[in-house]
Amino acid sequence: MLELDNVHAGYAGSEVLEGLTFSLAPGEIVAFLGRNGMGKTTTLRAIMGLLKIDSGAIRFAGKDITGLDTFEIARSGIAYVPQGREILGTLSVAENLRLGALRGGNVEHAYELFPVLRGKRNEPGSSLSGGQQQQLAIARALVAHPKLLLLDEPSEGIQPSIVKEIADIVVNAARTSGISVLLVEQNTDLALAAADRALFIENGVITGIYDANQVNKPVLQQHMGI
Amino acid sequence: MDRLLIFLLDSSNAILVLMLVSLGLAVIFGLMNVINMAHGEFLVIGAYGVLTLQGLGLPFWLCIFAAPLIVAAIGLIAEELLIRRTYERLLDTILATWGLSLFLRQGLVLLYGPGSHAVNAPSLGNAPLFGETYPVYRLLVMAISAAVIAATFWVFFRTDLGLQARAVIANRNMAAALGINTRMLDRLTFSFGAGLAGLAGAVMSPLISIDPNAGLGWLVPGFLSILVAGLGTISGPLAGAAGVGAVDSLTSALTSPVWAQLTVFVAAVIVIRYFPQGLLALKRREA
Repeated sequence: MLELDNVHAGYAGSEVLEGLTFSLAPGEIVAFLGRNGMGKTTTLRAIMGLLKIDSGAIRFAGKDITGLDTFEIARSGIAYVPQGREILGTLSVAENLRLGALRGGNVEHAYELFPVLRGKRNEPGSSLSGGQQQQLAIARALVAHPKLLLLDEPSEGIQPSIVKEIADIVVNAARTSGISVLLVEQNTDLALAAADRALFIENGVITGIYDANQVNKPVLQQHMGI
Repeated sequence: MDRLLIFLLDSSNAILVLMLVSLGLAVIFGLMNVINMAHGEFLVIGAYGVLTLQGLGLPFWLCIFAAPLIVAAIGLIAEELLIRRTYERLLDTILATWGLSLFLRQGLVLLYGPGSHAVNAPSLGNAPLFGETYPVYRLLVMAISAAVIAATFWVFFRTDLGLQARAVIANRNMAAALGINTRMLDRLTFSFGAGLAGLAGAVMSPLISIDPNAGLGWLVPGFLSILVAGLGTISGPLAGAAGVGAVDSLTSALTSPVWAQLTVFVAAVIVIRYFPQGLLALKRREA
C-alpha cells in the first residue's frame, strides 16, 4: 500500500534520510520509532510531498507518487496530522472539518467520533484546548476517508488522562475502516499497544522491523538507548 | 448642510473605489505573499480597456463589464509567466511586479502615447437627493463597487472556494495537505485581484484623466489602506480604505489635495509606528 524505496532527503546541506526503505500493508498500524532527530517527521513530510526528496521512490496504492504536489498526494488517499496539529486557528471548528470533507466526506462522522467538537463547532479552532485541537486535527483527517493516516506525535502536549481515550478512538476507527496508520509517537508503550508492527529508524535508515508484541526492553535499548 | 451631503457622497465614492483596489491587493498578498506593485497599472488598464472598447463602438456598460475581464486575463498571464516564479521570496515579488508595472506602463505609452485620454460618461444626468442633485453615474459607481465588495465577501465566507482560499491564507502547507489545489487558487486569486483593480479603473474611467502614470495615485493609498488595518485579513483593507479615504477626502475638502496626500501619509506613518501590526491586530491576537 505504501512503499518507500531507498529514499534520500534532507534540508539545505544536511541529509536526514539516507536511503530509507520500508513498506506498509493495507489496514496495518505501524509504530515508527526512534530518538529525536533521526528523521521521523522528515519521513512523513517527504511522503506528503512537503519536502522534495533528492532520490529514491515513494509508491502509494500502486502509483508512483514521487514528486507529486502535496494536494495530489492528499487526494490519492493520504491524510496527515502533523506535529503541533496545525489546525487552522482563524477558522471555526466546523470550517476545519468541512475542509477535510471537501471531497465527499461527512462532517457528521467527525462529531460522532469526537462529540466534544459538536458543542464547539462555531468557535475558532484556536480557542480549543490542546486535546480538543488534537481531536479536531484527527477528525479532520478521518472525515476525508483516507486509505493511510500519518500521525506525528499525537500525544504531545495533551493531558495523559485523555491520551488513551483519543488513541482508542483512532485505533478503533482505523480498524473498522481498514485504514493503514503510520504512527510517530514518543510514548512507546502507547504506540506499541496500538500497533501491529514497529519500525525503528536511526540516522535516516531503518535499523529494525518487529512485530509490535516482540518489542521488549532489550529491543528498545538496542534501537533507542532506553 | 447641502455641502456636507455632497461631501459625504463624494467621500463615499472615493472610499468604495479605494476598497476595490485594496481588496485586490489584500487577497493577493494574503494568499500568495506577493506585494503587487503592478496593481496601479491593472487599474489603469481597466480604464484604457473601456477607452478602447468604446472606440470600437461597444456600448458603455458592456465596456465596463468587459474591461475588468481583460485585466483579469492579463493577471492570469502575468501570474503564469512571472509571478509564480517568485513565490516565497517576498522581496523578489516586489522587484518582479515593479518590473511588470514598468513594462505595462511603457506598453501603454507605446500603444496610446504619453498624453491623457478621456472616456465619455453616459449622459445620465443628475438625480434629486435630499433636496440636492447628484450625478447619477457617480451613484451607480458606488452601487457597483458596493455590490462587488459584497459579492467578494460572499465568495470568501459562504462558499467552498472561499473556504479553501481562507485555509491557504491561514496555513498554506496544511491546506495543501488537506488536498487543496493551492496552485489553482494562486492563479484564480491573482487573476481575481487584478480584475478588481481593472473594475475600479473601468468604473472610474469617465471621472478621471486616463494616462499611463495614473496608477500610482491609487497604488499608494491602496497599500496604506492594508498597512493601516493590518495584513492577513480580508476585512482589514475595507476598514483601512475607509480610514485613508476619509482622511484624504476631508483634508481635500478643507484645504487642497496636496495637503490631503501629506496628511494621509503622516497619519499612516503615525498609525504604523504605534500599531505595527495594524489597527485591527488587537482584535485577532489569538491568531
